Amino acid sequence: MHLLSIEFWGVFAFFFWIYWLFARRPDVQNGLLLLASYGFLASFDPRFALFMAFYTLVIHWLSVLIHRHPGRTLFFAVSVVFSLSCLGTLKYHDFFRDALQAAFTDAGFDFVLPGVELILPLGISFYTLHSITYLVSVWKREIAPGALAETALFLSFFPSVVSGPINRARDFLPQIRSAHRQEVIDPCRALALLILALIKVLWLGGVLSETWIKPVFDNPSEFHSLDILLAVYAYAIHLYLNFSGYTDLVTAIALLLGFTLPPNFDAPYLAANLRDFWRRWHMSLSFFMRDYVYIPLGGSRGGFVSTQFKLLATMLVSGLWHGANWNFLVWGAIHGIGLILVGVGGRIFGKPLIANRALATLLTFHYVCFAWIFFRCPTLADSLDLLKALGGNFDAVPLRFNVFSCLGVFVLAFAAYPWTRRLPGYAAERMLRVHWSLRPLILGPLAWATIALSPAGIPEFIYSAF
Amino acid sequence: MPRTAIQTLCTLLLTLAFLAWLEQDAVGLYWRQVHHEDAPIDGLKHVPLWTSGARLNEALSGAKLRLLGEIARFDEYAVASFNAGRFAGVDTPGEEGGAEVPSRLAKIDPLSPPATRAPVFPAEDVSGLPAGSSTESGEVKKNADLPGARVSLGKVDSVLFVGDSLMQGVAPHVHASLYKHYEIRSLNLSRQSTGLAYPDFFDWPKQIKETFHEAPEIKLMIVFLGPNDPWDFPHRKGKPYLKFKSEDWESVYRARIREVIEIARENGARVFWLEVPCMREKELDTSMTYLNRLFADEVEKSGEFFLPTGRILGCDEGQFSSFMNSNGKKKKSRIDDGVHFTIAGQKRIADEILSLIRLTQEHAAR
Repeated sequence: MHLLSIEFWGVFAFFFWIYWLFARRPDVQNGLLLLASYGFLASFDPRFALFMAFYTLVIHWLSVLIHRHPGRTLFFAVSVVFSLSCLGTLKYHDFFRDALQAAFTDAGFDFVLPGVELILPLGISFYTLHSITYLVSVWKREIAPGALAETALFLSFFPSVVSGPINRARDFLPQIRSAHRQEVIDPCRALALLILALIKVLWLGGVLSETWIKPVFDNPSEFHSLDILLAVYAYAIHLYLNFSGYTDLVTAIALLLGFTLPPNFDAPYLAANLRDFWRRWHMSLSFFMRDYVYIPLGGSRGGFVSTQFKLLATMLVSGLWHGANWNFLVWGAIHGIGLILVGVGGRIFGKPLIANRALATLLTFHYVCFAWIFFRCPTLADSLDLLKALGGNFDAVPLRFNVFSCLGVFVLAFAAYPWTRRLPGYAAERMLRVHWSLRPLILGPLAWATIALSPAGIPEFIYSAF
Repeated sequence: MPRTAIQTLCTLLLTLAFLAWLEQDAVGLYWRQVHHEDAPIDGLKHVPLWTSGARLNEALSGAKLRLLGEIARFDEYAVASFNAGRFAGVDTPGEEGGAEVPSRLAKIDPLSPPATRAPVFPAEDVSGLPAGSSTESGEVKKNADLPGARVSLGKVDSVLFVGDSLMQGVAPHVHASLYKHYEIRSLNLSRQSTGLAYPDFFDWPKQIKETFHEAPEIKLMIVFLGPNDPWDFPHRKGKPYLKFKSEDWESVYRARIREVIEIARENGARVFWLEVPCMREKELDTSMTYLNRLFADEVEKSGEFFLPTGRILGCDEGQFSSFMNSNGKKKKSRIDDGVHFTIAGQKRIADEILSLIRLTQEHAAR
């Protein structure tokens, strides 16, 4: 069930009513949430809910063993291996089968590896990371293992199960255990975030995708270099709008249910260097990678050169996490190399290479855009075709899009960008001053105008494919 | 129930009701297309106060279209000015010597084909080269006699893609390959969730007719649809839905297939109709077998070409498999939903389509 569908909001309104009827019984509310979360997964495919149940049972059992057993490190290692094996097998089996098959063929073995029919459960990339934060916290004795129902709700919580944000057990389990969930949290902010999500995902993201991104990325060679440049910028903006809009949407749903989720974006295209970018883009993943991959690898201990290798390794893991595809590895490598360049530059010059913040931001944005080309194109050959057309189609092909006006709009949007960070808070504050019975008179026309300006159809959330 | 929850619920419900009131027609179409029955709000159609929302929406939509039209005109002007400055002296449509330029495509690309473009083929490759020999890696194979070719295309001809999300996966590969290697242009109208069962939701015959009217240079139409169609559908207002596979259903559906083919033929275009390959889910697979029989029957009756796709994707006697044979090795052709294709699967179908297209001498001699 798509989070922007009519059906979802019909069911959600009913669920919301029942849920808050039990405001004084958080245990019942948790039970209702657990049922709703499994129902949500099953609405896509009942096997997704079944796998979630199996995965939860094993993780719960292992977490209890880690907590109780004197040899808890061994159980911790087993549990992490189990968790990563599930993800590895279900998400990457065919990628590695292909690579292995190619290696066999290159080595002269005439051996056909069988294809295995496995289904990739929805959200597994995200709830694997949720479960690792849980196992680590239990292992470090930051938290005690939850009751089975608590662990189950933590892993399957429907607003964040499909595409995050990545919840950490030590922050989220206390919310589940709280005996004081008696109010909707900041309802005006939640409503403002819902409208913002519609504007970002349906309207702006939809227009960018339909008008420029799809036609150009489908066949870049028939477009002028400036058209392609426009489409690359448009994709960078679209990806941000789509994913941050999704985050706004699920954050709003969680607030309506009395939960808070971690932030995921902080105006990432205003970053002055790549390190700064990763503190602002998909923050819950960046911080996960920092705390659960980079630091366990040794972090900045072990000297400058070793640190750079660890950074590159972390970014390659991050790339591969997005999908079993060479393009994602290249994307991760481009960011890894970029981070190394930032580090090396800082070490040699003792300060940022480019002192002018606006120029540094512009350069960082373009480097990120270059990497997005590999993120968006389905294969390396397609990425190279696009780059070739970007460089070579200036005099050979006529222009198709009104590039200069569009770039003007993009520049204006960037100028307004710092202000938009405060938009949800500002909108919530204004709405608070309006009597609640009048709020539909603001929200209804805003939502309608957004829908009316959007292309037909419900756009997919890009990150739900990862 | 806490006060904030009651207030928020009322706000949500009133906002949703407002949206449903204004967007009642869109909601009705969506509901019929997805749930194959009338929407719950369709029962309010006889209440004037309720239907006033649809009328208001129509008026507002008209204003929106006018605004978008103005923006489009401004865009066209800006683009034409830029191109006129850079490509002065190159024939433009309507001018002498520019008559061969594709019309609808020319609207967005008035200088096609570009004068500065280098020839695609080396001199020794020019005789009778098939367009259809691009491989999964995008390379071009030589195949001088091309016994399987079903259609010839020249440099001013173009290709129209019609279909649903299956076609959305396949069309870009054919489109890119035809342009990259032969500069043959395409129009890709494919759109997810569409088919022939719900013309109120998306009217393919109307779309195709309008497209041929605007782009008479289309010489090949490729159709790939079906999985959104195996349902009961309404035929006449106020009448019960026609039951899927019933005699009436089949007769209406066959007429729609014929209509699509006839529009292309009347406009001098050939038709490739793609078989819907086996599906993982048994019921959907059985339905697709039935629809394929109707497609194949009508396509063959009209002398056009029905292109089998199941076998090349790994379907074995109709039995679903996610893997196809690729140079003797197993390659994944289907994604986990058991309906759509992997990139390798999309490219395999694209290669099959390309293998049926021959270039005219005029083109090959470039």
